[in-house]
Amino acid sequence: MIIKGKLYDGMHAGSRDIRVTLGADGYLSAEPDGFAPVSIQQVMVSVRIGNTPRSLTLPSGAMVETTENERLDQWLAGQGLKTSWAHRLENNMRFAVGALVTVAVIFVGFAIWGIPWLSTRVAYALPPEVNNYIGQGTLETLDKRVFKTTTLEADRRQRLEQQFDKLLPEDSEAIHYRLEFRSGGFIGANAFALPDGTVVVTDELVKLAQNDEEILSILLHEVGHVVHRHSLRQVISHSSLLVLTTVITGDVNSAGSLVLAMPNVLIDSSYSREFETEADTYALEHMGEHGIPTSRFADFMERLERCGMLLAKAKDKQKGEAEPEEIPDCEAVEQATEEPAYYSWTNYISTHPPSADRIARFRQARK
Amino acid sequence: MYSPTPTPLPVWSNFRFTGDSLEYFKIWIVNILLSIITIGLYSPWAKVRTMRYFHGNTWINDSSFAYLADPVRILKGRIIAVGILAIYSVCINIYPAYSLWALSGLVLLLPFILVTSMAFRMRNTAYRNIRFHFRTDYLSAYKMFLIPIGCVLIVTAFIYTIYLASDFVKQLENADNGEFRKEDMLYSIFMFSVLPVVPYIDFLRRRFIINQIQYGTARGSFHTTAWEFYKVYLLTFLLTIGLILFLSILAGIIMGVFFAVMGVSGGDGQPSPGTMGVSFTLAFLFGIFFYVIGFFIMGYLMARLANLTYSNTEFGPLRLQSHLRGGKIGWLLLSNTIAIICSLGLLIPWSKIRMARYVAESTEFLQDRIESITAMAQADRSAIGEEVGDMFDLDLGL
Repeated sequence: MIIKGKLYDGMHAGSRDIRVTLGADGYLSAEPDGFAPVSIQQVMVSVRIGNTPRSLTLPSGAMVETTENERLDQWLAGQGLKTSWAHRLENNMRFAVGALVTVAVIFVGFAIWGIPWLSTRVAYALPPEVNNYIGQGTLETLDKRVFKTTTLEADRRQRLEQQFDKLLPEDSEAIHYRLEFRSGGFIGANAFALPDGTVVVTDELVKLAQNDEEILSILLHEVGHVVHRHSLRQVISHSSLLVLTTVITGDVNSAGSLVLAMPNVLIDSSYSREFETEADTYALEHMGEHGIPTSRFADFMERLERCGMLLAKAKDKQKGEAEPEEIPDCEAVEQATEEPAYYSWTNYISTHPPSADRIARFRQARK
Repeated sequence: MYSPTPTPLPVWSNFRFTGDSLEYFKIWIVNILLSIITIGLYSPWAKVRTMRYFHGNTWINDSSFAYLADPVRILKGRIIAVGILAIYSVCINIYPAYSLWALSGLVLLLPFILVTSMAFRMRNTAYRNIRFHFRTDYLSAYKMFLIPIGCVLIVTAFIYTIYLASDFVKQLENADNGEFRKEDMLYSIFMFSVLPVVPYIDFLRRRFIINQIQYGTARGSFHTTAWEFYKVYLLTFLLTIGLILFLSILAGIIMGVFFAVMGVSGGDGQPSPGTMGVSFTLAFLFGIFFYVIGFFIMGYLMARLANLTYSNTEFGPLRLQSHLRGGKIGWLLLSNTIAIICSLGLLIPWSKIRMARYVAESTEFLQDRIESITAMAQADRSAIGEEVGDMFDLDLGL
């Protein structure tokens, strides 16, 4: 068998067109102007990828480049050298379709079950010190960027702190719960939990509540976040998705990266909704223990939502005036419109699942 | 050995790309599947097969490029690199306050990564059985980056000190209801003083890379000035500003005409739902429009920079010439993105193939006396860490 190719001597970049004779005895040669017979055992044949040209590197360092893949493979097979298994898979349309389906199933499955499972396991396995580091770091950053010192009276805070201590789970697993008050700045009425057991409540939230039980119901929800290690689980799912996509795709290109970011965003929002539901469940289960009617949570959520609507209106009205006033706080709007109002509902609501469903859940629960 | 022949006239010939979307799709999906099944252990083989596919399908005259990296070495590099990335990402999540420091740590590593990844890539690229080579020079790489950045920092510190000393700060602090922060100003000053240096750093980077590359014994040389880079960046900047101004004015006119016809108010001083809807729709449409235009601005910048770089590059007797068009690149970027999103990623192979084909077909090569180039006498042994740099894959593309 004879195949056409180019001979490069490996010393300089010149080339020569040659015809290589592939002998049945396992020797190849290109005489008179190429190279003397040499056994295939001594020749390094590049693996086949698609229909890219192959190189046959001779012991002398010279190289033959040829595009005659089919004939070369046929001869190699005759010498007992089969094409690589990778190429046979890549060259098989049915296998490609199968691979596609498998990849899709694995990816979706991993996103739905794998990552939550993994992040939960890791989150509970990490020592409490990690939680403390994350918690302190986050609070420091927020204090710098968002919060100001609380303006609540000391005895009001003390009363809430005492009630908060009674809410805590008995088996707190080395987590030191504590309650912090801050003036919320632009995030307004809000509460959140840090992984080290710090629960931060904004003054605005405290003022918006009509009684302490409403605040306590929100605090129970936040304790639920800590008990279920939600922050840590979120951090871990983030990192594991990032590492996974980097490893699989190897190099992420400009157009590709946008697509790869999409599942991340989708998964993220679905996780955070799941976390909220879990924390709600925790609050529901424990409100009874502490003698708090489940409707308190629902009352508060409803007020939070209604106030936001009112504030939006108040803001629009202000735009028409020559000198904008300071943004009214809840009481001012309440008095002016004879309806309860409060500002900055957006943040609390947007990070949380559709509140109508959640409110209904607390309304329907056994009293 | 060679008979004396009359010296042929220098001939420009195009790069040619012969990859096929379906063929590459099969390679791509098998690579992904095997990488998943082996928890990423196959990914170096996947990378090598992909690189070989693209190199092997890139031709000048009748010779193709070759990629020769050993997957086992890439695997070792990746294990180390993933470790570093994992530590980094955990640190950032635990101490968000220090993320700026961590980032500057990574920035300090950039010159090192640039050099090592180029060294690895060049060593493993061959054409006509002659390897490329990248002369590693860490000292120059660091000087190249640190001197301009140092200047930027000094200028930033200088302006910030003047700014702090002025009573402007006090005015702002008094006027503002506590939202004002001095650190924010520092950030703005830094951005303001780093922007004028970006074209220069890009010029230095490209000149450094080209000058360090060798094809066999033929050394790369780069024949353009920083001013040419400034012109490209400045034009892109003006183009962007101009387009934004034009679109904003256009949006204003449309809104104005619309409100004049329809009327703004819905009776009780509240905007009517209709006008609200229209302004939202318009805002949305213009948002999309800006996004689309972003691709073309990006394409323009990429094309002009690539043309500038390649057309001024020589390897001994060999010369390159590139005539990419910004509009075409912008269109490819835009249509690729839309196609990839709509196909849930299935068209990634197709998009890579058509971009590679366009870039190859727009690049020419002057193959004058290529026979005179000889292989470099080099030990086929690379420094430790080259494959680690390869993981980060700083792309110049050749």
